[in-house]
Amino acid sequence: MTYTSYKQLFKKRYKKSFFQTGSFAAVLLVLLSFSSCEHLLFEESPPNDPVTNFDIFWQTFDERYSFFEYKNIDWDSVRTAYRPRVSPETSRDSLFRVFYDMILLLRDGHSYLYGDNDVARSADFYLQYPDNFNASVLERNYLGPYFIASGSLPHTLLENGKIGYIRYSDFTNPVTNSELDFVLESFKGTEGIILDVRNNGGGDPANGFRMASRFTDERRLALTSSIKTGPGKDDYSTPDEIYIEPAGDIRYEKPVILLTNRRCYSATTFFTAMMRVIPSVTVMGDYTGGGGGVPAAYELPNGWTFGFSSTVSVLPDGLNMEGGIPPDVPVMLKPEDEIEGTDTIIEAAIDKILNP
Amino acid sequence: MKPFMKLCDMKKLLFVFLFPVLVFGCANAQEKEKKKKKDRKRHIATGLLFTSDNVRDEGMSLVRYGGAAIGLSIALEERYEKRIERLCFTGSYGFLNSVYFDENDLGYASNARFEIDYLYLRRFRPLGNWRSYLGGTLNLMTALRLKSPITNSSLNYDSFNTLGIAGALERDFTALNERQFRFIQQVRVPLAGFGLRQTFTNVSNFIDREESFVSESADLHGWMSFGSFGRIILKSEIAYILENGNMFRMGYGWDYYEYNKIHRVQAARHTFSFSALLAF
Repeated sequence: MTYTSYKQLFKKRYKKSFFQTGSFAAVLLVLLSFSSCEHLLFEESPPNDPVTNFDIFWQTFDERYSFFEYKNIDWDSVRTAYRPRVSPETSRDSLFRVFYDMILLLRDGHSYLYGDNDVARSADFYLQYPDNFNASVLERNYLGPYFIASGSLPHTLLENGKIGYIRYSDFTNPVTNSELDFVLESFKGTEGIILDVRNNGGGDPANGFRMASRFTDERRLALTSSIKTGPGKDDYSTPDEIYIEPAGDIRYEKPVILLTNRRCYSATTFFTAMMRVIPSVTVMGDYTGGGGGVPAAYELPNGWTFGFSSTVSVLPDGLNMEGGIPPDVPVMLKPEDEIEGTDTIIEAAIDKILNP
Repeated sequence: MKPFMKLCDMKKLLFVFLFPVLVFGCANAQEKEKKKKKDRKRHIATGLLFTSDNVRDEGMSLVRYGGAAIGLSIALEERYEKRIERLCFTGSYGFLNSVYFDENDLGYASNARFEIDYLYLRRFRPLGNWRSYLGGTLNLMTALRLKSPITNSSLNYDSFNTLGIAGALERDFTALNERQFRFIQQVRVPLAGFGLRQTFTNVSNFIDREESFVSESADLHGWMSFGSFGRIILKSEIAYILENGNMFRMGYGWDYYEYNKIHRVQAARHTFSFSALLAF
């Protein structure tokens, strides 16, 4: 483009000052009038008062929580009972207490509320049951002062090298393929493995898939899972079938004993569901704590955030995982053994491997 | 380990994102063959933009969020005697805060938007001293909002791929010691397209390893038309034309959209843009 051509173009089109015509102002006026409509177009934010916060809290659970039917909870009656405790004058502390009481009714570790400084969460899934785990006994008499801490998987050999023991305490700690290779390679000569996930409160289920893939000999259906898709009571997606598949360079197909207790929650319960379908695996100890719903979260106008279970997971035999997964071999930690420094459940697992 | 995106996912995405492009491409293929290079004026434009945003996403919160963002754009523009074409890539990143609270980062969300916009305008009859244009627009837009306090539900998104109509009024004028300027006022209204939104509870079913996040989102896509979706884009631009044909351009735009599927989302954006256009 040359100056000459632009100049010619302008001479042809330009007649008088653009600003003098008033057109410029008119166009801008139209533009501004449209954009000033913005606040009319937006739906108003709900008022930030205790009553509105209560209503949003209650309604969000009503539409999105996935276990009302399974737990036989009448959420409408909860509203009837708790709504009168909230008024425009209710303090933030009092409102938090009301919500806390409502959450406790759900008996669900995935349902929680983060307030200004507090966290409300139900821990009934393990507090109402025996621990079946003693960290001190485990460290003093089984792991010992020396164990191989391969990333997230402290492990050692028991019974003169006949049994491999792996402790996995937190599913938020990633388990890598190289760690699994290392651990399973070092357990190559054992007769069996004890995989201890007691007191593991959950985290990323991907770690469970990664571990289970080393023990399964074929693709196996572990569970089905449906997600809440709408506000209606029956608005769930078609159940997705969740499989585990063999993977990894180094695999282990000798007997594996998975130790569980009531504090095995969420991703640990999912992991238990994956492992229990493998023929070489025996689940031993107590029920897991459940946590079969993927937690979703939302926000209240007052800034508090809260979570709730939003999916339903079911074992192939139809058992809802929210109630926990039963062990194949129930074993409880005996207080008298604990006093003597013995872990009843580990001893039972050792016996099971050595005397099948 | 399953691949992140399976072949069927790819097909879904190709259909969702590229179908409008193919339709538009075919429609214009013959016309492009006949382009007369001699009357073509072509520019590449790079721009900086500053935005003021308002968002109300019921998937994230019932409260309206407001904030600002900064972004970059790059555009290819072709101008003929009787038509204008513009292909523009825009990306922006910024922050949103709840209108009620911002203490302890609780009411805070980061906000990113990516947009590919193709505009085709054909010259129409003049309106007084204004040149008028009518045409079409193809717009691919994805807005992401990340609100960390709601953990698993922290990623909120909407993605719209739309075909619509566009109109413009344009006028050249001189001011400031006979300097040459061009003013253009555009309006665009999408008519139909695809929309993607987060799931109802705003979590992906991540237990299901065989269905990727992308695939799950693609399953939720829906046809959009008036009723469930509405958008309007208004844009005013003034370009200062240099003697060598390059330009500096300043613009103001207002963009509003809402989508009522799954959870209602409403978003408005005021954009101030500054661009340099190089003729080539």
